[in-house]
Amino acid sequence: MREGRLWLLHLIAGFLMFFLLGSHIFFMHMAGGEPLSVEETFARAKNIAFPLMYTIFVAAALYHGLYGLRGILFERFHTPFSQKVINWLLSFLGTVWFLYALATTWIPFFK
Amino acid sequence: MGYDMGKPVKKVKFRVFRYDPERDDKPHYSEYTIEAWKGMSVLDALNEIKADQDPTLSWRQSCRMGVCGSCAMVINGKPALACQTQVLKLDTDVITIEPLKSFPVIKDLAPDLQNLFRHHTHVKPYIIRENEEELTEEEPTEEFLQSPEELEAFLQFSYCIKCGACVSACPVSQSDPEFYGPQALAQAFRYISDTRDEGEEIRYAIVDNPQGCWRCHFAQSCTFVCPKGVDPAMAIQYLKRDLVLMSLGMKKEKKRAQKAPLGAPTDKVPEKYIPPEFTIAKPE
Repeated sequence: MREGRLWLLHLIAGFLMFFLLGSHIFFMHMAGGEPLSVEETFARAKNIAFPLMYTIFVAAALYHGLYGLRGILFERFHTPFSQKVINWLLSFLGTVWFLYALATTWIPFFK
Repeated sequence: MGYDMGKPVKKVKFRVFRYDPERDDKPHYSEYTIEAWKGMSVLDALNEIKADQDPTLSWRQSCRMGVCGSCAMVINGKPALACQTQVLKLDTDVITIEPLKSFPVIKDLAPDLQNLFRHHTHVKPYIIRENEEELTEEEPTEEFLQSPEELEAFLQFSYCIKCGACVSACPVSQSDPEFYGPQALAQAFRYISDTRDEGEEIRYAIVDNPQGCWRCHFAQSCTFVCPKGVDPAMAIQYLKRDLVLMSLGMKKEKKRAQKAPLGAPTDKVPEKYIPPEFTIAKPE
C-alpha cells in the first residue's frame, strides 16, 4: 500500500506543478504585464498568498523530482538495504531543501 | 534444400549477431546473403542459412507457427517472432537479427530466459483457492461458472506465450533485471481478474513493490511488440489503479465465480453464463 500512496502523491504533485509552474512564470516573468521596482517586488512578497503558493510549489516540485530520482536509483540498486539508504538520503535531502525554501519564501513576508 | 517454397524474389543480406561466451571475447556480426521467396519467414531464412552456409549458427525454435514463443529475437531493432516475420514484408535488402535484449546470451540468437520465468513464477501464475482441496479433488462435483464478460476481463492476457519479446522491448527491464517486467505483471493481473481466483491479496502484495508495477514508466513498448496482441501496459495500469484504490479504501470487492453441479444442464445454469453460441433456442 505504501508504494501506491507514494505513487499517487507523485501524480498529485505533478498535477499541482502544472498550475503552480504556470503561476510562477506569470508572476516572475510577466509580473502582471508591467515591470516591478524592487519595492514593489518586496511588497508583493508581503501578500500571504505569495509565500503560500511557493511553499506548495516547492513541496510539489521537490517531491515530484525526488520521487523520480528515487525511481532511477531503484533501477540501479536493488537490495532492500540500498533502497532503504536511498529512501533516507532522499528524505533528508528533500527536508533540508524544503526548509531552505521555506526560509527564503517566508523571511521576506515576516521582515 | 527442403525449405524452398517458391520462386526467388530478391537477394537479402542477413547481418546476424554472433556470440559464444565460451569462445568469443565480444560479440560480432556475420553476414549471409540468400534468395528470399514469397512467404519466407525469418525463421525459414535462418534454417536455410544454417543448412547451406553456416551450421554453427544457433537459435531456439520449436513450433514454427507463432504458438510456442521460442523463436523471439530482435529483427531490425524490433523484438518479434522469427516464424511470424515475413522477410519480404520487412521491405529492406539488409536484415539485422539479434538476440532478445535484457537477457544474457547462451549462444548467438539464443537468450537465457531464466529471469523471465523467475519473475513469472514469482507472481503465482495459477488459480489460487482458499480451499485448496477444491483444485485437487479426484472426482469434483462442482464447476465454476463464468459469463462471457467475466472471461473477457482476462482473456487477452491468457494469450501470453512467454516469448520474452515484451521484456526485451521494455526500457526498464533493460536497465533493471529485478523489475518484474511486463510479462509477469500482466500475468499477475490475468489471475487477479479471473473470477475463479481467490489469491488477489497475495498477488497485490507481490506486485506492490519498488521492483513491481511502480517501476513501469508506461513506455508501452511491450504492447507494441507483443506477437499475440496482449496489452501488458494496460494490465500494469490496472494493477496501479487497483492498488491506489486499495490504499484509499475505495476498491470494490472482487466478484467471485459462482459454482454449479458438474455438467449441469444448460437450463439449470443462469442465462448470463451461457455463451451466445451455446444458447439453446426455445421451442415455439
